[in-house]
Amino acid sequence: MAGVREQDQYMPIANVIRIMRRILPAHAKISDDAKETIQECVSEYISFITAEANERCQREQRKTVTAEDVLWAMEKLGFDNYAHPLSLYLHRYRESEGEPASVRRASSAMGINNNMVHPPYINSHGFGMFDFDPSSQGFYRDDHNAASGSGGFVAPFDPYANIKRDAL
Amino acid sequence: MDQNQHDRLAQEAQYQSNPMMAPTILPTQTYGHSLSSSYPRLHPYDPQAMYQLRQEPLQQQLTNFWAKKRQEIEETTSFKTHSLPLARIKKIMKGEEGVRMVSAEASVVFAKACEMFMMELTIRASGSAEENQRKIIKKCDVASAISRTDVFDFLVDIVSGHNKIMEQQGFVGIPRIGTALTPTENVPYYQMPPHQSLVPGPPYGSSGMVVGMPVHYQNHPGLQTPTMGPTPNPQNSSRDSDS
Repeated sequence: MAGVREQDQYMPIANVIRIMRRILPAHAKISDDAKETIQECVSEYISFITAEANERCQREQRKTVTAEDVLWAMEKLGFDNYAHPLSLYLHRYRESEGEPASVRRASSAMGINNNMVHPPYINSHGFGMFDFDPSSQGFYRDDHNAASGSGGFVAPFDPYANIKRDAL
Repeated sequence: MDQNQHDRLAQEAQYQSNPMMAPTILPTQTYGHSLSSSYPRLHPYDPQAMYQLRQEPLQQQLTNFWAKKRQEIEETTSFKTHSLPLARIKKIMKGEEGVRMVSAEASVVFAKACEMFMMELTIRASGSAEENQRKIIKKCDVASAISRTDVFDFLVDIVSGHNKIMEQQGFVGIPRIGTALTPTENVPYYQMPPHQSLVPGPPYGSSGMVVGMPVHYQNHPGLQTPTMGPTPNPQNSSRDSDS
């Protein structure tokens, strides 16, 4: 068995298996070598995207790799179909961070974001509102399209320009 | 998730009902003959023909997968639990040369991204297993999925290492005819032939029993260091299109 340090370079195999099984029929089987190959591929994926994200970070003389850097790197490296749903995910994550659960859906429905509470322990949170304001980027109109079963939802990814992010 | 399973089963039914993909003649009767034309399936070693044949069901699976992912994200109500540990993600990110600080949100986005990545790779690998009429997904299926997908080029070094292991196993346990097929699996930057099975020798049916047995000496993760694998970033970053 690999040492502790090497184990830290991979995702836990149990998580890998659970995720793989979610997408497969019940009778499908996965060999141990396939599980471990996927495990290695995930670490490689993180390193690959992170390296590209960090290059942009350094060009702009910032110290912290942000979620926007990650999404930008994915688009640049051909993972457009990942970056688009993840933009929505990030937006919704920020909503959930800023508002109590009982208010979240109402605020989302009305497109209210200016009133989001800014948690003091996440310095970068405030900038997210500029990047992913739903009223300006049509998230909710696209939601409507998705509900009607029409073509796929494509969230426009507009990386912020010239905005310095504070280090966490 | 139940709907997803249903979609998968429906897709499989459609897949199996295709006469070209499910020949009435048992493969054991003809597989292994030197004349591939005698095999009832359409050009099993012609990558283009097999690729076209594979495209429709796999593409539909992936389309369903992405639609389901968008729906899942839209319906997410809890952002407190993640399918992958954020601390581990951050550690891997910081292992990249030059990375100093990583925002918490970057780890959160990666947790979701890696989940999507693993699922896409698994769907493609299961497609490869189905082509070889197996219900068990093996690492050669993962390798095949990677070789067919442009955006996964950065993973070639990982599966190339595994191909070497497969070659070793080939010399140990595969009949002579199998050995002749092995070298094509070691071409790292070109599309591999559709048949990636490690047990091509006759009789196909009984040798298939071996497929389910894990070979432990192959499973050692220490055999590779993923961070040393990627090709220089400038080459990868210049890629603009995906398959």
